Amino acid sequence: MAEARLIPQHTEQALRALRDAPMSVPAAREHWKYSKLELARGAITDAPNADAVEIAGVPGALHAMLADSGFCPLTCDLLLREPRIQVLQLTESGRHELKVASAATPTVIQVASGISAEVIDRDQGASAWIICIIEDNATLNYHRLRSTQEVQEWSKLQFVQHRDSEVTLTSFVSAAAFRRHDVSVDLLGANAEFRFDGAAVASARQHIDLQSHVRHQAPHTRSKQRWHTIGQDRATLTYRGRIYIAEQCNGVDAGLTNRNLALGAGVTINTKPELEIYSDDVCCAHGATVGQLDEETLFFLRARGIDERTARRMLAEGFLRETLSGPLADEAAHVLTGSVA
Amino acid sequence: MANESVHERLQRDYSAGFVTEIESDTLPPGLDADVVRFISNRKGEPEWLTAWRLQAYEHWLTMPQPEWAHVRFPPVDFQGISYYSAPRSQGDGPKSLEEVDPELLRTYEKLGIPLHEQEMLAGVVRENVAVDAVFDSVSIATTFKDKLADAGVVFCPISEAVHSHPEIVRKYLGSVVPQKDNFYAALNSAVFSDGSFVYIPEGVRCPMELSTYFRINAQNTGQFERTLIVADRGSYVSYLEGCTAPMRDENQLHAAVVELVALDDAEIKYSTVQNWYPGDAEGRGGIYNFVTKRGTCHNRAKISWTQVETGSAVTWKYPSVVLRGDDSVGEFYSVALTNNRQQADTGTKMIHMGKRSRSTIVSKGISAGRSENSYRGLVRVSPTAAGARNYTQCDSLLIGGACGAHTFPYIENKNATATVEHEATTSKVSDEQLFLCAQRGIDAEKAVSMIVNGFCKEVFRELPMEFAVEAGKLLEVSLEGAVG
Amino acid sequence: MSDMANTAAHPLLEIDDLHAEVDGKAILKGLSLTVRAGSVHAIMGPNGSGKSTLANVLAGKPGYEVTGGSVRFDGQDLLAMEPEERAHAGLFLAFQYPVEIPGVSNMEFLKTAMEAAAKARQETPLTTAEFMKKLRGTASELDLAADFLKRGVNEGFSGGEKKRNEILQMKLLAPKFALLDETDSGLDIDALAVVGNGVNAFVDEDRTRAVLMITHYQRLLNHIVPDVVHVLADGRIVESGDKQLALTLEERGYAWLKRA
Repeated sequence: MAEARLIPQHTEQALRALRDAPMSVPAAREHWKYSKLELARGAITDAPNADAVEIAGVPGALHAMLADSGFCPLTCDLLLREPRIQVLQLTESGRHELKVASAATPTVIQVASGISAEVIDRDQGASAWIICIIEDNATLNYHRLRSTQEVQEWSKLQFVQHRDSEVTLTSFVSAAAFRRHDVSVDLLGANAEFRFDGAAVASARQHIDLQSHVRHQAPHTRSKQRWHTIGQDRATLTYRGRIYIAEQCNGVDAGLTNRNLALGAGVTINTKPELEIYSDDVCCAHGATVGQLDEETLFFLRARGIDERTARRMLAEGFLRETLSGPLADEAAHVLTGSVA
Repeated sequence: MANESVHERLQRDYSAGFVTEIESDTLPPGLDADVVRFISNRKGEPEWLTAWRLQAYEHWLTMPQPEWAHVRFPPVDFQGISYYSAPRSQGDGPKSLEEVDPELLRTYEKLGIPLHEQEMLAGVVRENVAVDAVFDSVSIATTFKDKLADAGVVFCPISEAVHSHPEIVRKYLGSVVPQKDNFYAALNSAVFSDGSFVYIPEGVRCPMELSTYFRINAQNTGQFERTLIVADRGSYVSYLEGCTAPMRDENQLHAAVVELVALDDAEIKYSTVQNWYPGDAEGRGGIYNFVTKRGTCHNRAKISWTQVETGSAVTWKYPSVVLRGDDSVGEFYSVALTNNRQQADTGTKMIHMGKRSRSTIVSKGISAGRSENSYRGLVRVSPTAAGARNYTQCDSLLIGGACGAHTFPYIENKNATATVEHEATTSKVSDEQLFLCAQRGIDAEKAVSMIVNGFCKEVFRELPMEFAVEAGKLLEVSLEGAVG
Repeated sequence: MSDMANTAAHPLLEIDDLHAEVDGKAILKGLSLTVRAGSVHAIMGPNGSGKSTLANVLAGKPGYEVTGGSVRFDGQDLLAMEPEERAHAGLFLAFQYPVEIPGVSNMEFLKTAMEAAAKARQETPLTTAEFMKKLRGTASELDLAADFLKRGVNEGFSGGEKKRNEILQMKLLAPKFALLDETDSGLDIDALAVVGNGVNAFVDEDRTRAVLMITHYQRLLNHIVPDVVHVLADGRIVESGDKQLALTLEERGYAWLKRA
């Protein structure tokens, strides 16, 4: 499928940039500050040979991830000539159901210039590494749903966006024993836009960790992210959202909102929204909250005759619904609200 | 063009950059256990304190320098620094103003610090402010001691408190910032020279503002002052701290530790206007300001940090509050301005342990020139802190396209009844705003200072009146060169 | 009485063969215009004809380059002056899109501007009490609530409030010459009347003053009756006349001009 072929030069640059700008390096403490590494270790066996290392039963996964982090020389050619790499070239508009053949190596999705594509990414069994390259003026709507509980997952989703491209990502996640999602976005071309809406619910002793990293590397690029979570019981919810704006990127508009509801006495919520800004003419804002259901609203509902349990549930659902959109919204609503006690 | 003339005016010198020619006793550069003993010995310290210092020193040797801050500077040669410098002519600090070198007094006059009580009584400047002045490593004069003593307030150099109030010092020294807390705190614990000590007895409202002015004068010296403020039950104190240093081409290290203890129902308001020499426009020289400031709040107590940071080449500073008591309150109001090649990584830590503890963080970062300005803040809610609340607002203002403004907040919540809110925004002084002001007859420099002052208003409001005015002027001076 | 006949009055603004460009693109291509004391002029023209460029060039906005011609203001060389010097000389631009300055209260802004003006004229600035009295009086004339003065400059103001705020500034700074750039855009009927009354009073109070209004629509001219109407097209004045000209334009559109 992935024969050696000419690829646009900027794609090669982009891949090199990805390689040189590591998103998640197990060695960097900061990036793993709140990931329960001891849980992940259940999945990652410490071994000198990265190829032999398994993540959630996937041989070579760590190697692949390390490679991306610049530990291993990885050229674009190598990536595309590597027969184990699945390359999907979307040259016609339409919907695609994604089936990841192997999580050991990345699946590259290339959206051709001018195309408007939709990718549905339902549970892939376990970890997945997906790199989306969105060419000039292309649109990608990427919808992800994770509902299986009995997994340990560490997935990476990367978007490389060229000029005038648009990506809408929705990601709805029911937590598992260990789930870490790394989302990395490189806005390389002017006027590229990235939008993200996501929600997660974690219960029992589940652990979910979302690391989003948006790099604005061209002027007039825009990003808007919303991530709502509900934690119950003794669950841990971690979020790190980094927005980076390079030099000479005027006219960038970046926004990030992270809201968390703590509905159980033993819930841990860590959140770290970061801004790193090197251009002055930008509009940038982030906000993060940790809180409970609003008692006054709760009272209002009860005063209208709704029992407390139903009222709590309604409010929690409402909180999640603010971010539910796209073709998987109904399915996600069912999965997520179903797990709110 | 007016822009050029603005630019020229902006080259004005750091006005506190003079060097005072006085004789001083300075230890040769280098640090080992003997130096630690020498310092302790020189001050006639009790054995426990010498041992305490040595313990810190031993531990310091095993610690790495922190590298996580968003700042870059060449490694500090800790053996190239002198760890003790004192104005000569007094064995162990002056006993009264008459013993102080007149040249030194003139220095303080130049800095606008009124040492003469009569002058202050005459209401010339800063009426009702008691001042402790620390010159290089030694506290040289503390004013208004008598009036304070009437109220039972102790305000003296810490070196003196070690002897006059040993039980308080021993009980609280290192109780908030342990010797081994971090690299610079450990260094300070080993070699701290002097600093202020304040004790406010139970139920006393300190009758005046207390103030310490720090000044680094000697070359190649580090300044390691240590401040300890203990506010007993139900007491109140407002404390001000000001800092300046002469212009020197090499970097100088300032690694202070400030510990605040607010016992039940006490309130401490701690304000800093930090104007250490920032280095020249090319980034040569300037102070490395690596400071550990922390307070512990007991039940219903309140600690409020207000800082205006305009100086120093590199700032690494996180005034924090451990909200140990129920219903305790922590506040942090900060303006950090960086220009030219200054770097600042500053913010706070609010550690919520007590029930219904509350904290407020308002941080205003202003970046100009080629500077880097980072806010780094931690809000941690422990499982015990039921009903804790935090509100954080963190705004950055950029002036020019060559600087960086960064925000690194950490929120760690382990209590489901806590509420934490964090907001951050970034804005710039736009050409449109400057043009509107110009069209209404206001020149660019005035316009920028007006906009910056407006941006900082919420923090200035927290400063004592006279400091607020001073802070506003300081920003104006520090921003010179930022427009045009 | 048409101003054009009143050639005896003092010429406040004299624009002669003005050429200007933005980003290397020529916008004004030989514009000439004289406005005398006591008169109200209106400049109309289609989008892109150079109306706003003219306003910005006169006020000295950075980024607008004058490539030829001259402008004299009250006898002085306007183009040699910095924007704030032009303001001090008595030139006031009412902005089409008044910019917001968060954190700086309207009151503080006005006080700073008035002090700068007094200093430039070597006059004693008003005391705070005098200033406040004057400010409150003027604000109430314009139906502006007291809290309006405490808010950040234009921060969160509605379109109408922003425009009224411009008129407030004009009244307080008491310039000789007011340049209104599309002041009617985004105004409802009530605000339009308030602004119109403000501008009329400005000239009626003192006949040494003058006004130049830049507008796309005729509707502001129902409230402020101009002595002279100019039509700007492709960077030049192509037609001048009395208020009748504005009505003709409204009726027949700008296309009529090109044919003429």
